[in-house]
Amino acid sequence: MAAPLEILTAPLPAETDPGDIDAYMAGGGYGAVRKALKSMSQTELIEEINASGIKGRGGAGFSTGMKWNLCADRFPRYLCANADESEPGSFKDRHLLEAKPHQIIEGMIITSYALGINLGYIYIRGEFFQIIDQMEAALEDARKHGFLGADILGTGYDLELYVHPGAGAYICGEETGLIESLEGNRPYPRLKPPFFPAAIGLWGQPTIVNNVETMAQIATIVDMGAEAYKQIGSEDDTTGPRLFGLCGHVKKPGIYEYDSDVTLRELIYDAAGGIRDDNRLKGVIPGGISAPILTPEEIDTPMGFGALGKLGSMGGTGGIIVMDETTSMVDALLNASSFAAHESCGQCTPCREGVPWMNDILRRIRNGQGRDEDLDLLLDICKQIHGHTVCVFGQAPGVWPVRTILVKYWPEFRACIERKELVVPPLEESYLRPDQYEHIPPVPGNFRLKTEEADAAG
Amino acid sequence: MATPLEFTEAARERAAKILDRYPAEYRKSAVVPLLHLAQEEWGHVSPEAMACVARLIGCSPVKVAEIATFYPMFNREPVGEHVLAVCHTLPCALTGCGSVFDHLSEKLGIGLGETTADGRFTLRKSECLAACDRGPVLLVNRRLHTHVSPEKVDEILTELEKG
Amino acid sequence: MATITIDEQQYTVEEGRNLIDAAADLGIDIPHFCYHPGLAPDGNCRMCLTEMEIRPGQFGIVTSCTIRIKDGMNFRFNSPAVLDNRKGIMEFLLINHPLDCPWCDQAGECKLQDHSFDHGRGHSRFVETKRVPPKKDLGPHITLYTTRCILCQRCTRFCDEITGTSELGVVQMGSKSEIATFEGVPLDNRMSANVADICPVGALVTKDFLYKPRIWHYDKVDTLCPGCATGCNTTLEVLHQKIYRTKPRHNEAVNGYWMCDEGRFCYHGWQDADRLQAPLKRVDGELRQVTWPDAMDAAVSGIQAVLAGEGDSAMGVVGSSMATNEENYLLRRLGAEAFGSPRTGLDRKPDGEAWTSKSGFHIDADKTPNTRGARDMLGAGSPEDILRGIGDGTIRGLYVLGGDIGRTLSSEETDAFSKLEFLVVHDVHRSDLAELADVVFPGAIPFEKNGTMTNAQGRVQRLSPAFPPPSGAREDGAILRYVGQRMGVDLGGTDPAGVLEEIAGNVDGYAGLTYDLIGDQGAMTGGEGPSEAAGG
Repeated sequence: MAAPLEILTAPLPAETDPGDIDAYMAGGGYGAVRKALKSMSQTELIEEINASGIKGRGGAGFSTGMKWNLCADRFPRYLCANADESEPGSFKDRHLLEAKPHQIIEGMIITSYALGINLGYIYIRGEFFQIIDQMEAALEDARKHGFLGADILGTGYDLELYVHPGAGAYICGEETGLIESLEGNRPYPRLKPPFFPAAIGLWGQPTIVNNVETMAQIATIVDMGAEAYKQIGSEDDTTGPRLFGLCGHVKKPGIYEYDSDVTLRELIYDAAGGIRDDNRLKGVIPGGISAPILTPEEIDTPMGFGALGKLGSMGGTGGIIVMDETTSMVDALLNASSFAAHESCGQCTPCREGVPWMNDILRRIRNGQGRDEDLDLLLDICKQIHGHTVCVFGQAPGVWPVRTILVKYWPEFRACIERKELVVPPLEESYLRPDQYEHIPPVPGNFRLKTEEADAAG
Repeated sequence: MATPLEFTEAARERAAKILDRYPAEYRKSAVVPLLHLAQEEWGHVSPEAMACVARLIGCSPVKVAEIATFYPMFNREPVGEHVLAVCHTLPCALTGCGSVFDHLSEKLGIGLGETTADGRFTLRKSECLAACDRGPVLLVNRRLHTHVSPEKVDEILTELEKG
Repeated sequence: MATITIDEQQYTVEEGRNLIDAAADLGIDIPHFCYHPGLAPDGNCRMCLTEMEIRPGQFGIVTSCTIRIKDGMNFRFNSPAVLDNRKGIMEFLLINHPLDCPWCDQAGECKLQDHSFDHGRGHSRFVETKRVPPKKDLGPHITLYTTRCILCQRCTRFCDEITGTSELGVVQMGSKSEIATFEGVPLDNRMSANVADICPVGALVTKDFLYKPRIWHYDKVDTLCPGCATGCNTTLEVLHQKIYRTKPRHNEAVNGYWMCDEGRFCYHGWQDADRLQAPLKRVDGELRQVTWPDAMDAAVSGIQAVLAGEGDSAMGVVGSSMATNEENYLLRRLGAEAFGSPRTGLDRKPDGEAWTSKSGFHIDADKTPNTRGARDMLGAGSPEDILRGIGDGTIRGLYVLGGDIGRTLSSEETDAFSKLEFLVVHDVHRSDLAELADVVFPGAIPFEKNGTMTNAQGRVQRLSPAFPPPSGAREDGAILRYVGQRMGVDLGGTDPAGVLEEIAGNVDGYAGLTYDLIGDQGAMTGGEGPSEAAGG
């Protein structure tokens, strides 16, 4: 049984306002900034982050050190901390923004210093009204205390950080969409290549876009040292503490901090107290709506990015959506698909046309007007979108939920079509076991259901 | 087009502060924050408000319209005094946001996207508000209400009626 | 140069060239919608996805439009992944498309039609309801059939990158996205109609070319725009001796892929003019239609009378910046060889408004196409010079190569020309000037002419006739030759290529120029030959 951690979730002293810089400093806050700016060179800092093995917490699980190393040797460079948390099922960033604004600022200062950045923004989604107010006040306090502005801590290093509010568009969480949004353009993600932010980012300059949890983790790494940090979790998968957010049909939804070796079963049944009403589990989405769903037989997996990848799913944002046996998977998928259809930015053809089309088909199936050919058509549309879009959005929330929920819960969708109404079959009859479908690869390409078995099961 | 809109003196000062956050040659970066400001000023972002922001930034007005019409947070039409947005994305759907929305709709006598005749309430649905552990959630103007149930909706409405 | 591999075949292409363009040079079509060689690549339509070797032996999907050729690149244009994607994109683009080809003006030159034929599926799997956004009036020249739009954004990029006027944007989000203008700010920049040319589908159409005969019926004539001294290269679409549409023809050194609206639609003014159908002769103070021999007799005897009474320098000749180099050259010869030593002038209407777009496309203030060439041919003095000559009585007779429907006379000019003893005019309609003439020869409009013109940059370019002049009119060169003949001067053949040969031998800066050298892209005066100056 994995033990819960209290690193990022370390509680503040009772009655403390999370935005209060004095209270934060009394608890050792801004020590990481002092340590970094006063006693470490830029190279040492970058090496420290590399050594920590940290993977970005935005969802893709990309090595933060590598991202920094890719930063082109041109100046000015800019920092964008991504707090546009909008992946359904993810709420860890909100938690950190509410509870630890100064730790995020610390991470931003350290990152900026390490990379020679003098101007940065924290892009916070527009609906986070109170968080924006609190962050603006926190930045002002940090400025007053000499952690921002000119000649920080007498080191001669200058940095300005500002809040940039979003306005409710999921696509701004995509790093180049975020940059376009920050430039005041429609947040259409850019073509990569050539527009890798670290090479050509904000206003054409090298730009580091890191998730806000990653920023907070940077402060933690400097604080505890890379050596200690990488002892948490497993170095060959995912190091450092992880924030897992459990929601849906669990008894105790909330944020839980563990290392990556914790299993999904432990998170659901131990941390979050099990399924509501002691119902049976039907499916779980392990890392935000885009992460391919896992069936009850698949939850004994550790939560590392690599481990989940081996199951054809992904670590994503660590937002875990738990669904019990009463859930209609047709409804759940329709909901996920409606989100994707609503949030597609409309820039490129496959996503703009294909994702809403799938949504229309799913709505028809849900309303009892499904046709025999619809499920194959859906899989075919998935294939036509996958790997053909400008950004990963087309496939992440657009395709992956459809093709994994559809394939794994094929009998339930078949039942819905055959009986021409929404039905929630008994759990045993609603989904396929792992040996009944072929591995669903996370890379562009085809996959095929073992049709005969599926038909037999349906 | 109707009479051109101009920001009040106070709003102009706030606008100047917003513009100060960005390098002088990239004034267009301020478009989203300035549209938020315009919405605070006038309640919604009309074409006149877009034109006002465009003048401030120094860009073609359609480039502001591109932004104002893209983001769901910008009201294109006048809205009620209180805007109620029920999150309807999967985690909230699993925890019963449907009944919250239906209850609100019935209580207020309006459907999705509509405003009550007295101009007090506008009812909306929102995509995920990133508070999935506390669902169903309801955003009332700038304030997030969590663990919302039909009973809690009644309390919230009573409070708003008073306020 | 670079050696690249396409489907296991090796080719040598220009290093740094865009892959779509490089493939086109090789005769290989990479289907695409959003890419246009005159605009920065955008990569949004996803039709041009091909496979490129990213690491040895490993191929990845790339947008062709963003690839610049480097030596050793290895592509697969026809792999199953590439072909499947094209099929998929075609399906996506057509699910919400109205499929209204029977009454769409783009039919026949529509990329959706072409690519659907080559890469489409032949039947639809879409049973949902199509989006039907309403049609929009975007500006004085352009209508948007919103249902047909595939959101490739060529038009918005044109207004951002080329004109810099940014009237167009994409509003709304996702599948509701639409091209739009802002209320009260129409698409009315001086190059607005180019968006219809570059629209790959039937979404943006000019109001001018709506419900016209199908595009495959037209004869296409490569010529020049007579609208200003820029000399944009154009293609006319002609049917039954009528122009239906003008489109810019690519010339990187002159107009790029573009032309201005004024020039594009100026054919109407010419085509709708009330043309002279026969020569005119002043009889009892009134202009009357006469036969060609009658008019010739009158012209020759009138000129001879002036020369007999007033001496060699009493006849003036005035060339035209609407006329070709060859015509102006023949006028000079006629003057020199038949009129003694005439004063030479060049007539030109007042300047219009110049404009240079963000990308450098230039609309010249000079609203005539051949001022530079006419001046080169005539060595002409200013129009004021001629007026002064008339005023002080030294010019008693004038031979004017008119033919500009936009030319009107000021009261001073009217007064001056009224004082002349004898006035011969070539014109195309009953202009102010023609009304004062003793003899009017009905000439040709620029769309009926064959010859060369020299634009403001000094680039000599070829003009080709869309149709012959009306039956009672003649090409101006032929009229000049006829007058010469009647006055005992042989101006030689009027074939422009032959005249140009003569010009090359006699006019400074034109040495070495031939019809072949000028070709369809023009050649610079001053002996540089075809050059690659920056274009629009």
